[in-house]
Amino acid sequence: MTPLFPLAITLLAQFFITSADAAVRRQPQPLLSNPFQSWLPTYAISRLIGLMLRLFAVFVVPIGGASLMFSTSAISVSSFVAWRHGETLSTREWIAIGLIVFAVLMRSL
Amino acid sequence: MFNFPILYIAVVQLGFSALDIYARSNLRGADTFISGMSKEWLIIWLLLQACIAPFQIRLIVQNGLGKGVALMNGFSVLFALTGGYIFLNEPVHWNHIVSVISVIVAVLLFATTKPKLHQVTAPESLSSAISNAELA
Repeated sequence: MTPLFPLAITLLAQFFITSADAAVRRQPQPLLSNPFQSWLPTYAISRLIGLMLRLFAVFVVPIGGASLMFSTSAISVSSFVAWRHGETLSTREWIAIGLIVFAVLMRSL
Repeated sequence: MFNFPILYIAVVQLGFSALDIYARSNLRGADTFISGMSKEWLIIWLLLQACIAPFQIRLIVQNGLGKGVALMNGFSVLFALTGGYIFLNEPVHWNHIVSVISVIVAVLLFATTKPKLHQVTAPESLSSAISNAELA
């Protein structure tokens, strides 16, 4: 198994999880008061596939490496999608996100 | 000073981290992935994931993808390090201390930043509704 395989599985898992999150993010605010709408199957299926792939990555990668890959991929993919969807973050908030990525990397040294 | 629901995000992440540990402990030692998954724990895990999903949805809707996910992962680092130190007597290295300080600074930065009004919260029909009411 090449080292790229767990990374590919993690990124694929993150793609599905972030797709589910992005689907609910696009909905109007009173989302949870109307839970049985069209977003629910998309959210449930996408998140289920993502979580199953995440479990597979947990199985094939040592715990330390899995935490590093999950956290960095989650933050980077979500921040990118948020930016693409027009979510506005201030400079302070981008610095804060950078600090969390730095913390994840430092933890794994 | 604190205009950000930090405690809420921390509690949701605590639940997610606990489910992660539960899955890891059940998958550990399995011969194959399929044999590790073919157990009762998977049903319990999926039900618990479904239970915390509404709280995660609320977190994402209220805080956004960038901020919400980054903070969840920040708390994940804090829980992993403090949990390892308290419950597993793991040694504390300098990089762990730097990591914890970075997360604390990041949380403080988020907490002291005023939230911007997102477009989703401002319905397009509001202005016309007001003008119609004024006309009536």
